[in-house]
Amino acid sequence: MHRLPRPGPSRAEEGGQPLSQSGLAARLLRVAIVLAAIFNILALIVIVHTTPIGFTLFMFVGQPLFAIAFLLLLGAILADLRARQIL
Amino acid sequence: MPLPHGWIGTTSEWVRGFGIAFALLNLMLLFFAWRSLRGGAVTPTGRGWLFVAVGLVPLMVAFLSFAHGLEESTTVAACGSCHVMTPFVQDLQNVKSDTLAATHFKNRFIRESQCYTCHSDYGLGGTIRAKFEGLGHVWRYTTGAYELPIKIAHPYPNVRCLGCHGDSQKFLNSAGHPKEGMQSLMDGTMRCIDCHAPVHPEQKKAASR
Repeated sequence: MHRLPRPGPSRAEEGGQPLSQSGLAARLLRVAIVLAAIFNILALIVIVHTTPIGFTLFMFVGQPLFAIAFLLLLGAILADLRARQIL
Repeated sequence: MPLPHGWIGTTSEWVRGFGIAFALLNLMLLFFAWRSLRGGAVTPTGRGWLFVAVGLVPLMVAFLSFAHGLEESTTVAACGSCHVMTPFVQDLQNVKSDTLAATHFKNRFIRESQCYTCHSDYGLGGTIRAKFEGLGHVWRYTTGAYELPIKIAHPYPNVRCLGCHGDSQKFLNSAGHPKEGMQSLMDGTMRCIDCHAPVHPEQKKAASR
């Protein structure tokens, strides 16, 4: 009996997330990375050459994009903690 | 003019330098975070990259960009970046001009951010109001919702002049400012710029957008 194949530990037990959930989290985190990159480019434009239009775009487009990226990251962290039954 | 010996830069220059460095660093970190997600799974290493690249460093970038942008958007160059302001800025920087704005500029009565200093009220409320008005200017300029010649939106309040001049001995002892007329200057029934005109050059009616 001891030679029979046994199922290994699940991804959740290994420290990762179940496969489907992990795929969704990775996709959302990719969106967060793209949003953070756009925010960074707008910030760079403001720092290198400030114009009123550039600064307005940074304030009203760039910062909300960063806020969304941050919330996505926060959501992924919370989902991860829940999957590990820490929360 | 050569910079003084030991010059290590202004706060604004340091903020700008750190801002550029942090923004470039963040773009690199985002690249590594993206690479860590290539397998379709979120690994512990990937979590680390993401936390730093999306959670921590952008906060620093946001702070530095906001501080720099807020400061730089008050400069004459920022005001002059909209072409409708070109005649005003040209006159301001013309040493031969005798308009009130040019006199203040060429004699360095106001050291920097000359447009903003005269066109915003004092205190935190003044700054916030000026920023919201500036937002309106950007909107109207971008959408073309303005008419030429450009006119000041509200009557120019004396408090902006008196904030600097009000307590100066030259102002208080000037024959042009008799004590009996002081009350009407203080309550705004007599305007400073009625006597101290022209403030800016007269605009051509046929100016194009």
